[in-house]
Amino acid sequence: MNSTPLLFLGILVALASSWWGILVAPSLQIGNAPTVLSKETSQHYPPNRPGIAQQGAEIYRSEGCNTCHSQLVRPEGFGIDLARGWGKRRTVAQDYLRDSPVLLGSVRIGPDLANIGYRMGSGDTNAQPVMVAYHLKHLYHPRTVAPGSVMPAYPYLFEERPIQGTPSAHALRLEGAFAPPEGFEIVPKPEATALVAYLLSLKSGVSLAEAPVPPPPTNAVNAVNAATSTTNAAPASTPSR
Amino acid sequence: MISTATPSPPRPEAIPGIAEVDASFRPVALFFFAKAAVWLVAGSLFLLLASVKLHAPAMMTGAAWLTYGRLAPAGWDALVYGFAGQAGFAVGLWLLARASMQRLQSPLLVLAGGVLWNLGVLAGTVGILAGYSTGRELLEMPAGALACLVVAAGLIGSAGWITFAARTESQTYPSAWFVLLSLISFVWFGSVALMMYSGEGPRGVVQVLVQRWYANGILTLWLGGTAVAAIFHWLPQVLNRPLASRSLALIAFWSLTFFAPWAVTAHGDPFPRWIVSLGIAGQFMASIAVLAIAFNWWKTAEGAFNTLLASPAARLLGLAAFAYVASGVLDFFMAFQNIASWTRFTWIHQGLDWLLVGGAVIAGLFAIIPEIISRSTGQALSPGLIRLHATLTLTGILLIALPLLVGGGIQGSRLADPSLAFMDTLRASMHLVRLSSLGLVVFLLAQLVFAFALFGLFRALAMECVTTVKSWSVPASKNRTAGVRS
Repeated sequence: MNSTPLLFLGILVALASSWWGILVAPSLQIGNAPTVLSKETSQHYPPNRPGIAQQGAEIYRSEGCNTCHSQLVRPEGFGIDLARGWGKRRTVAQDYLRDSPVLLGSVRIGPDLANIGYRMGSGDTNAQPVMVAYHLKHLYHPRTVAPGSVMPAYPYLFEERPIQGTPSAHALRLEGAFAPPEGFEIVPKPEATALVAYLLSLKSGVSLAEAPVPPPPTNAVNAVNAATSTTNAAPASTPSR
Repeated sequence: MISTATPSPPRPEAIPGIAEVDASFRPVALFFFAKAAVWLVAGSLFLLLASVKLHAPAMMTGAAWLTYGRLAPAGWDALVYGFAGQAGFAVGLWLLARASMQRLQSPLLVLAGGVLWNLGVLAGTVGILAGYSTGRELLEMPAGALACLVVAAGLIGSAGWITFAARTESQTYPSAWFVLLSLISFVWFGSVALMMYSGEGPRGVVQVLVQRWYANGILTLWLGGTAVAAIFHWLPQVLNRPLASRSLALIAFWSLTFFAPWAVTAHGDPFPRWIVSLGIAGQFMASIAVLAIAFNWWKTAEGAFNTLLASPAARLLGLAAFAYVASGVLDFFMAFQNIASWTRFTWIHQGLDWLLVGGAVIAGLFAIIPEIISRSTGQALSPGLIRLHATLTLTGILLIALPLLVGGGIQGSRLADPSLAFMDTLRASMHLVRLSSLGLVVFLLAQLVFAFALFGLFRALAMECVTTVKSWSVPASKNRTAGVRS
């Protein structure tokens, strides 16, 4: 400990070893993973995000949504993310290939969003506009659709403007205390529309070799479980009209 | 290196006395502690606002920069980089100068680093509030700001190493090793993170690994290293007895240096399994260091624990030592899968951060900062204010960290119950979050008191300057003695 250069070198070697082990080796193993062709959709997975959803990802990052929301479904035995209906399968490295930055999140002050794009009547093609309207209202003021929610409101992603002629088709339908003053309407700014497009693009349900989607429940017990898990996610997933 | 390069045999005056070592520190202490105090007030204010927003979400929603997702990281970064890192550099350099019995070498390098550091923190914090966050925990600052910090830390760190190389003390003391480790750590972790994220950066979850590795490294080695060094220096002084074992400290030092950077826990995360296992192994091995440090401190303080409760400053030191060991022990338990399964994604995460950064680092630094200021400037901070500050800081940190840890436990057990709706899992722990907001109020008050005490000191120093200058203009030579520093 009495030789300055030796001490310096010792510390540097120690620090560098962890760099090799924790960063360089995994980069070599999974850093160049290619997209895979899914038999289910006959498309490459993960798919490229549409431009507007990509812009929404930037809003998600800049507003710090990941401070409260995770995007990670843990496997069986690591908590009950699957039982909560947050995903059909665990999420794996493959799911995040197109994300930059990858925002796993570290605290769940809000529910997990890894599969928010699937929730609320997935499979129903008419559901898309309903989901968009729901998310816009939720972003404008979370308590309009989820009473008791602690999520911040994002009124600055919307514009309050006087109605000129016919009301805008994009105006939010707000009632009671949340409604704008008479003669005014609330319309989403492009930021809000992009953020919703991003949220709806969050889907990690394609069956992968390393994380297959289990077949749908067949017996009564599983069906009951599935039903409970849908109700659990109620505040975030029940569209309110 | 600089002083040993001179060919002539060292003159007796080349070995400075303690007073000279301390006095060489004056500009650095004044600059770093003043700036750090401002960041601490700003950071705790942001964090308080963010915390209150958790239970009063309708408050102040009009402006983008006031949203929780921006305020919370900006506040935490101001606390970590603006205060803990900055004050940590100053305390670390002082410990190094003391352990080396050498005046601080290249103080201009340190001051230049300090200016750059503050510019970096300012750009970073404003960047996060303006929406330019990178979204990566503890690395939220835009790349340019982080680059400023890395260069600044390089300047400050090299002055530290130069001082150490010019030491006049033949045997090195443990506090010096930990400071040297801390000085290298930020430059290393920061520059590797910058390098790995530059250009297109790594794809997919490797990005997350870089962030985890960085965050773990700077918390345990950079900030943790400084806290450990401060306690190694200050504990024997306060107790007025020698350190129990130098060789045990040596074991602790090398096991911390070699193993702590591997302690990246990732239970259930989308990484290959071997990485998860490696992180767990790293965590277990790093516990050797915590154990060795804890045993050493325990042996040093054995039979004299009352001394650690005797004065507010000693209590801060006691809290720092306790919090450091407690956070190490909790980290050890979190490495177990079944424990991590329910603590993951809960307030425990924030509670642990507060235990280490608030409890071990901030309390540890504040236990020694007033001493450094009075020794290097020759002016003491108001003793009454410092006592008040120490008491409030201690109360505040405990009131923030403990409710978050307990609340996280409640939240975790509720999250693990599929029959409870998500919103109910949060509601049950909300009163504890309110309690930690109260803790933040106390903590903010404490830091305002400290800033006020520091302001008083600057006023006193300015008066001293004025007196000195006035004494020059009076021709009578006897007036010259009126100036404290001639």
